[in-house]
Amino acid sequence: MKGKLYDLGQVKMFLGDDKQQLGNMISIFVSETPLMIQALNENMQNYNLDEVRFYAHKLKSSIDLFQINGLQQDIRVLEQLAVEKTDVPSIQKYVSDITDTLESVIEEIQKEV
Amino acid sequence: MESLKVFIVEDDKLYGEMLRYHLALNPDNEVLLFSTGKECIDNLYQDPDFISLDYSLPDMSGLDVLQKIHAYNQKLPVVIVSGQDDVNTAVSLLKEGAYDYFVKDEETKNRLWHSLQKVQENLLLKQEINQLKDEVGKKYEFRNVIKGNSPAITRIFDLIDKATQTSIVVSLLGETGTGKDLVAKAIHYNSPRRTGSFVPINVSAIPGELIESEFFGYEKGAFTGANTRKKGKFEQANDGTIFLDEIAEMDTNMQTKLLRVLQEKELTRVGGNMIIKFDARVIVATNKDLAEEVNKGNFREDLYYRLLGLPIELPPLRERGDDVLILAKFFLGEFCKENNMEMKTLGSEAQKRLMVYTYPGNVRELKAIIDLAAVMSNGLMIEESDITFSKKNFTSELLNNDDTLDGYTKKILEHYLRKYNRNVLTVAKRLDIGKSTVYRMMKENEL
Repeated sequence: MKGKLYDLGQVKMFLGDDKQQLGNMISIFVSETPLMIQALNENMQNYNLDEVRFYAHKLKSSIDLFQINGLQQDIRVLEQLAVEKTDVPSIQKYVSDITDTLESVIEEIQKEV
Repeated sequence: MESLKVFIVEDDKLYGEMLRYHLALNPDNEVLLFSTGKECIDNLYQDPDFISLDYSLPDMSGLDVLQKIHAYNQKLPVVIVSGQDDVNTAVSLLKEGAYDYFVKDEETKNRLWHSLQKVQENLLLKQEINQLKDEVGKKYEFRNVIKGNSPAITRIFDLIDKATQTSIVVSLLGETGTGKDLVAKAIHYNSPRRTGSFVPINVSAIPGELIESEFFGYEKGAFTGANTRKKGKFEQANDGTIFLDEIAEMDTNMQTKLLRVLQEKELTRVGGNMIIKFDARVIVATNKDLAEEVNKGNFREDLYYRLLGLPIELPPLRERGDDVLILAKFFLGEFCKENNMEMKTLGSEAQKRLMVYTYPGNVRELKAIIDLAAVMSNGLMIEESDITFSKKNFTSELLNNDDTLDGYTKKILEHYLRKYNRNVLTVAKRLDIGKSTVYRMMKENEL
């Protein structure tokens, strides 16, 4: 059986026992992340790599907070590649993979909560 | 202490909410979350005490926001929170005046918490300092500093009151011992600048070669012995008051430099190139006739007009009538209190004796006379015999220095003109000469 894609340990460490605030944080993640994924993909389609870097940078803290398995390193690589602007195919691949994983995470969280 | 108002500027809603939640755990903090630089700047009117600023915002760079915040309030602590571990960016932001720079990681919330605590401690210290300054200010309320109710001194109260309303330059004129330094302090501590520093300098007490570095500070290595950078008196007086006592003693070279600094409201430290803006109120004092010094070529005319501002001429004690007794009683009470003595009073004969003296050393001399009388008196009443005037009287002073007959004549005339407030008729009677002779001598001696 596949392990969980995320870990709420870091968020809980921030919030302590405040379950209401935990619910609030999860709902912000679930509502905000799709918007960022959408902006990331739109900018990728337009080859606007500065904006790709910007959204990769923005997703970084959410990915770290939710300790999303495998993406903590990938999002940093994507940000760096978007700065360098030399390897567009790799950038596209990372955007695609990160999008897939985040969508899965959102789905998983929505099922659980 | 009132609550701390904290701004969090973070476009990542999730991260911003986390920080808001964490800092709001302290009920003393009022935490507001903004997602753009513009929103933050538009809300600066709410006067936050602390700002946590994300470096990477959608509408402006962190540097731009920082500069705009500091244009609004240079002293507002702004911590930059960045997703990037970039030393160069961090250094440039710290140079730009950022309070601190944190990389977003699991320790961010704790670092932010500690920063906020430090800011809170600093604010508490500042509040304490302001309370102490208020107390000092009360000590320097006009009526506590300057005793008396003669018409001459009442007029001075009105002028001091006017001086406290604005930052106009004040020039304090008057003989030695009339209390120019106390009036300067009273103006500072009763003005809106009282929360800033009061920085007094006696111009005549600083050697010529050191005066520029004392006034304007110096950079490390500017001269032998300059081991560290030092702020000058003008910088120390920023937002406060600088008091230049005995201004007439300043050499002409320094006068030129001072004029430029006062005109431009900016200075350069000795050995440095950086232009430093300052905002200090200037009060000057002298017991010389500055206009006369201008005529003699000892004082720059342009600086004279720059410094004239609101002139306040403190009256000599001999022109203050019954203030002599008010002051004498005050000094006596203070002396007895300070020395844990039983309270003494002034006998009527002692009072009469005090009223006929001319006090060349003014209030300072009166205080010395009263202190001595309190020590010398055997009972609880100061008698006439306890009052001792200084031996350094006019006659001994006159004969101490060799002079020509014309020189002595001039000094005698000067003395009597001063003593009788330039009343020529009285002077002529006292010297037993004709009124026209007095006028002739005044003309010949340019008195």
